[in-house]
Amino acid sequence: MKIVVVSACSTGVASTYMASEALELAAKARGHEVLAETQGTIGIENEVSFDDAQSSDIIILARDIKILGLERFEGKKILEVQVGEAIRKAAEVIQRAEKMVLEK
Amino acid sequence: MDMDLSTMMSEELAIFGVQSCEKWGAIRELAALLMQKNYIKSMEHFIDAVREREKMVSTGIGDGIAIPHAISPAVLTPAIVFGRSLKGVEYDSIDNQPVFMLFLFAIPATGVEKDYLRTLAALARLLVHENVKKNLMAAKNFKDVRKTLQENSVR
Repeated sequence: MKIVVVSACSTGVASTYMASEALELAAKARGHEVLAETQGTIGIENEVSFDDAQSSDIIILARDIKILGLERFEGKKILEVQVGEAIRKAAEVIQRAEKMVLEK
Repeated sequence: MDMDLSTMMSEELAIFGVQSCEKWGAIRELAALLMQKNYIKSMEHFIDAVREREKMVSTGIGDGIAIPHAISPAVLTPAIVFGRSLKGVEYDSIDNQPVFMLFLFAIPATGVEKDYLRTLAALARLLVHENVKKNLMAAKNFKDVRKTLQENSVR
């Protein structure tokens, strides 16, 4: 599966990146391709393009604040989780994403 | 190893055996080293800045780790102090568990904070990996800490 992850936390320094790292690790462990964008205090990094977003199987938003650039994800399946959940239960989040992709 | 992580950390800024078992006592212990070695020019201003940041959300990120940090004009030279507590520090962490490792980040307010925040972000990413956490907890001296961070930062 190709998964796009976007993480954004209001305090923006550590949590945003930890959520991104945790989800990336968990997704790769399950053999998925993953593109991870972070929206934190240092700005947007590894920005996912419209094309990459549209060609993915699912978008995971790990967020405590509004995500910028939502129009890229129009029409896509989106799984929203809290940043804390992404950090502490990354494997579960990826499994939920897998289920969502398989559902109609 | 990330250049910034390597240049910000050093043997002289490492405490194995943090004395205080209380959050601010432990942070002050680490900050005292910065003061002693002239990385900061005012303990009080620096600690105030750390407190302000702490008010937003605890830097006790769980699993026994804390990453207190501050951007402050009191910081003369950017640095990271590593503190290892053997008994555990009451820190008000997000998982309510005591802290056994602290990384105190001192960032100067020069307008290029982003670069140092990037280093903090890189460290935070490393600290997600179980093996990194395990090896850091097992570190007996600064060389061990540096080795662990060096081995794992190439992604």
